[in-house]
Amino acid sequence: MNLLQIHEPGETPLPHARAAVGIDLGTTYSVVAIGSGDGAEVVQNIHGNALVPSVVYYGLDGKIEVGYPARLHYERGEKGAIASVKRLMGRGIADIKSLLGNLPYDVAPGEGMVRLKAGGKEVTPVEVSAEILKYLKHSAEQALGREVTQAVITVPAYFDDAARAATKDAAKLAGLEVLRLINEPTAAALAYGLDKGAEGVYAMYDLGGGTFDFSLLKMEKGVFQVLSTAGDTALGGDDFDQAIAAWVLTELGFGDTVLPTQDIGVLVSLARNTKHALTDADSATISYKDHSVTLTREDFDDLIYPYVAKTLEVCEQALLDAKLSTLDVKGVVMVGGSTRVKLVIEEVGNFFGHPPLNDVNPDEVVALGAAIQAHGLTQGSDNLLLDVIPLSLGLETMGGLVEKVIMRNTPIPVSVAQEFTTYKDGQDGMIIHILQGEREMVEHNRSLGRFELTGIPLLPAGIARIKVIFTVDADGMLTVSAEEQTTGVQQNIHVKPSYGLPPEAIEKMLLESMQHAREDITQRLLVEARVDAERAVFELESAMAGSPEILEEGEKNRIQRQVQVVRNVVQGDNRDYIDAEVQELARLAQSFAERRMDSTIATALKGSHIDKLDVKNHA
Amino acid sequence: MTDYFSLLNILPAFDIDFAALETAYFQQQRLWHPDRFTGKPVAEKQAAMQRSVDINQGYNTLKNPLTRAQYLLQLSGIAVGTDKDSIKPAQPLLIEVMEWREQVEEGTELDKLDSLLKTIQSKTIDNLSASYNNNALEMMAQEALKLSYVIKTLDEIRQRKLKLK
Repeated sequence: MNLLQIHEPGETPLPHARAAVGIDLGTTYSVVAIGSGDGAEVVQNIHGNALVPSVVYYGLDGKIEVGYPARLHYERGEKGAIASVKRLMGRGIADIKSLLGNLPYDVAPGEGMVRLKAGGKEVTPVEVSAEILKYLKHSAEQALGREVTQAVITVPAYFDDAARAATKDAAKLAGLEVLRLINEPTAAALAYGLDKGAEGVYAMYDLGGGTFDFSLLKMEKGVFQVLSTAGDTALGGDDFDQAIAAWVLTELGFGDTVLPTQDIGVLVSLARNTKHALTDADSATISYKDHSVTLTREDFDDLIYPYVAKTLEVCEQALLDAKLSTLDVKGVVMVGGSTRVKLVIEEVGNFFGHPPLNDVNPDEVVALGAAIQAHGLTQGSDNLLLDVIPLSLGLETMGGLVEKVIMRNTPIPVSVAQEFTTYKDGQDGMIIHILQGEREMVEHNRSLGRFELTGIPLLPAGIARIKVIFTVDADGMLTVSAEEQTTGVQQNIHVKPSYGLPPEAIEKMLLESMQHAREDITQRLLVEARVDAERAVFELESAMAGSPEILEEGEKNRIQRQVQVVRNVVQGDNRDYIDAEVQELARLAQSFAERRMDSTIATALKGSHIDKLDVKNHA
Repeated sequence: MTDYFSLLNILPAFDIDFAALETAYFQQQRLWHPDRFTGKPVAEKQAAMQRSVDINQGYNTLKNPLTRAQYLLQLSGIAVGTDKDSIKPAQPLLIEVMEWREQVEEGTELDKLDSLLKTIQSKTIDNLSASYNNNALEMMAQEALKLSYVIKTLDEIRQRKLKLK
């Protein structure tokens, strides 16, 4: 493909850019992959495959193990082994009631998120995920022979804001900068589409261990446009395992017994092996506590049919949202390990009227897509991913009702402004409650947080006009800003997240984990701030050198003075000063940056014919 | 702000070439999507993000016949909707809508109503095109109101059918 790239002189991508990887942080397995100019490759482990069990073991001696060794502890029913933690990301105790009793470890309520008891202490799901990410980072570093500092991490398309924020926090704890969170089915589509040269409307049916996502995409000339997405964050192969485990207990007459938490891990592992055996065999025998019992394919199909039927309802919803029928879908790509289950393949084939596509490795395709995107984001690429928000965003109104502000399946980034007014004379503050979900009533949706507006000018009721802007960025995450219209006063917004961890908690964890590793956190953050400052100066100076004609003299002097200020504070060791001066630099350069972009585009348009800009693959 | 038609390089019209709109949309997002600005200065990132937001908004507005009609009216200084200065639905339309609503609530012959409304929907879209091309903006406003009621009622029929299931 010979495609148009816009780089200015002195502004080509940095040759010494640090390595960026793609990570599929899955419920049962995780995979890390490395992108290059021609695609991507997964990092293999010593077992000759790419899968790292998403299990972390916390020993009482403070030792932490990840992957296969941790899963061994888990299968032996030892305390301290934590699996399927993804289901708990960004979740409070009330959210996971249905899971309680099925988890092979003890859960405690905690501020923002649940706590898990392991290795004689309590850990958050964020910390557990961070251990998995650290492990993957390390594997990639060994494979590459250099440091890995940046990653594209995939999340279920149906992950809500809290779960996305928790994933970003975990990456931060693991020392990874998140270049972008991308949705798992979108990542799969990128890898699949590029590999197979697929064009047209395709469906990604992504059934993992704990989550189900279904996305419809239009793939055309390097553009991957998500038309709609739907899913269930509590539906996956784990449910099949639980169903088998429950069946075994009933068959053996243990139906009413409450199992000790350790035994759950053992039984569920047996159930999973049985499930795997049934992908090839017509029946499988399970031995548990000196008893054995045989499960046939037919009985297995009956056990899991309700879950499979649920996935098809989700498919129907997504088709309806995209105003498409199954006839419009050129192919259904099977993603996620659970799509190996025979009944799933059969039912999906029946639903769409043609057999699903099984020509990619369903365990690896998501990580490969993430790695391709990581490479593209750091080195430049002509692929374009256009994604959507999975769930509508709304506000609480009178009577506990929800008013939708941004509808689901709206392309991101998106920004919507809503005006509010006061209902009392001299009212100087108000609370706005933000919700995510499709239901009418507040209590049926997920609360993202309460935003407190303060400092509203004292005016009679109904006169103040407060414009609140909700923005969902390319990571699918929400930010809010507000301004009083009549006076132009910028409002302070105080965010009280309903779930998730406040930034201070993350800093504290970062501190603890660093102390544990005998590293100096302040030093590390300072180094990061310096690197960021130097990068900002470098990028700005390259831009200024590239477009001297649009730089006004006074502006140039102001920017250069500020560059000097930044250079001075970088010599010092106050991180806050560095950050503040870098921000000031960005503010001074904003107008220049905007003009420069306009002229870049003008030049690009002038320099080539429109039909060349319409990037086509003529090769 | 530049209007959505200029932003997406197409001529302001009700009858638009959907393929051209899409091509322009992809072209613009290729230039402005946040993914194109990962290594850029913060100010550029922010400006590009805003532009990308506008392009998305423009594409969404123009690809849908109802929002496209409303936007064309808005560009001509005509507001349609519930605000106090906007054009209100004419009496006969209101009566028609009330009859549909009653039928939905009773839940009788929903399939018949559904297909009737779909016929009205495509006819209304034709009328929107004709009235815009003839510069009959008042009439266009009424047709736009009609289309919004039709779409809303079709949605209510779907919800109602789900409940009856």
